[in-house]
Amino acid sequence: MTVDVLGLLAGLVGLLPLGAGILLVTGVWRAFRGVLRLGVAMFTGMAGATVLLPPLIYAGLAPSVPLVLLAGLLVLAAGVYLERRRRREREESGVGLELVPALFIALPLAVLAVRAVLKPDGAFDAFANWGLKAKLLYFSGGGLIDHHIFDPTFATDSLAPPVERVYPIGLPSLEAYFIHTMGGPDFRVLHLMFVAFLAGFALTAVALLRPYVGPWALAAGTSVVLWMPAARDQALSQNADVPMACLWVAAVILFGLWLARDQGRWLALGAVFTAAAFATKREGAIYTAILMGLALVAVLLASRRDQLRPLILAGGFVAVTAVPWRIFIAVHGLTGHDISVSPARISEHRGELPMIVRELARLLADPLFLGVVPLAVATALLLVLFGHDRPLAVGFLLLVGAVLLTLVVVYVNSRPDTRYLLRTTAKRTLMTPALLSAAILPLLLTRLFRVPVRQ
Amino acid sequence: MVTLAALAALGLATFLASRLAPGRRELLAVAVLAFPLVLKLPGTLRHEATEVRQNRHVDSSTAEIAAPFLRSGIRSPLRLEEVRFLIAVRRVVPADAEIGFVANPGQRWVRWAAWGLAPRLVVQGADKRWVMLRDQPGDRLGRTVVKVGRFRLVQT
Repeated sequence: MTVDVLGLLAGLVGLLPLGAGILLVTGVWRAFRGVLRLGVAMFTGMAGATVLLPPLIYAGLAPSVPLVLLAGLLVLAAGVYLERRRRREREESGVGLELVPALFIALPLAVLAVRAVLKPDGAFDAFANWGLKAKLLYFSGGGLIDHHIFDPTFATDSLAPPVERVYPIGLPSLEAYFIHTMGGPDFRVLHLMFVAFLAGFALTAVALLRPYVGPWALAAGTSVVLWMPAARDQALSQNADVPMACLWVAAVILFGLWLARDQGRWLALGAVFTAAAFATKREGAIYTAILMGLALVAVLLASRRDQLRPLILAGGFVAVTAVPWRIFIAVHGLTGHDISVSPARISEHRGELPMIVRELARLLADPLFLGVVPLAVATALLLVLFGHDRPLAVGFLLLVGAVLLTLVVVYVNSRPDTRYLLRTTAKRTLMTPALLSAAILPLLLTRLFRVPVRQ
Repeated sequence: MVTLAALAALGLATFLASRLAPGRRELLAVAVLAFPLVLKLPGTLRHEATEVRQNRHVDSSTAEIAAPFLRSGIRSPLRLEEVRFLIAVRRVVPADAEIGFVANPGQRWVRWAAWGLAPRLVVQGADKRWVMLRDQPGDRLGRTVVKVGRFRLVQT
């Protein structure tokens, strides 16, 4: 086990060139310093690999260690070149990690890591879908891929093929990379990859929000994210919901920074995280549309036509990264087993709407989520009422409302029994609004109480 | 309960905010954030400690196919048989082979076995060089290579 843990940690280090390269290319590198810069680079590397590996796999290249390192070094070289060419008006001091948030981040993650390496893989989708795909990608070799995952024989002849071949393969390809660095598939130690997602997300949220939130409030907010029982349980379920939520919420914060500061570098990095969320789960596509749509509305309402072009470019980048996956499912004629949106199905299941809304509301109030969604929504409503920071509050309410509405539509269109699907999946699909609320809550409270923020 | 308490804390903090000096208002934000956490944390730690205690005994040699059934609290002889059988099959059957099995593909165990045995391809039927059987004699098909409880692997 020790060797596997070291292998996984080496895999995280192996993602640093890619992450640092993306931070340099987008121009965000100097905005952070020290441990925080490393943490953000690691999380960005995970996001970058989730975007980069699937098209390479479709092109026939296995998600091996040399491939990730080579891609990382190429992006890093491009980033160093671009960084040298940039002229800076003034040197940026960069946000660093203070002792208080550092301790509040380290403790829950250390406890979770111990639990992670001992936990057997148990969630159905984790082994029947994500884990199986990851193993097939790993066993497809270290160079040119042997096409196990795409092999028609595995899809049609196998007694138990991956249950959702229509899903994007960002997460299994990242898992396959870590299995390479571990030297073999150890699905207990692989839980640490999901802990790393939470760690990277917490560090990135601290890095991005610190200029707007005091260190103590940020430490408390980070603790809410990292001690939330639902987030901890779902991270160790090895499903894709926590990674997608982490990536998408990071993208939301970056888009918000772009709108607030009018600096294109935040939008550029936000586009990478949005593309990564898109490459993780099918809901990622809808959440991408929600984020892009709301950003467009914000730009139009502020009459900032100069921001339209960068936003369209960012949307174009995200769309291009999804093209190989869309081609793959079109060529193979794949459709989802569980969800298929159609007006006929909505009409047929409309009687289930009250039950779906009631069940989602009941879960959101469950102590497993620490009440973060109702708390954040109430805080945002108070902000609107008192008029302290209406754009932030309304933006948050629209985002969380759109995500919850998406979930209602998804469940109305379920092919299996709706109650069964809700019972088996709602705790994990609610991770996106829960992490969004938990991450933004310290900022909302800071604005509501008009807390002065010292740097 | 936790959610209601958190909302009540938010209401109280909002009432107090304008009465506190700006420099101390960050404490209100901390209190609202920490309140639900403090209420739930003891239960979270208890739950996680129990899980760690249960999983500590799982044999690390089964790491690749470790299943939830292996936890000591819910350990059953049948589940252990399944795990021991899969480990034995993995030792005998080459990684690029196909294994025949007659089962309902909707069963959770079949999914788990396909994951544990991958990249070996588990296919429906008994007309392969390697065949897995459950509750069936294998003599008419060929030589029994592995037998664990009610499971056997036959080489035809």
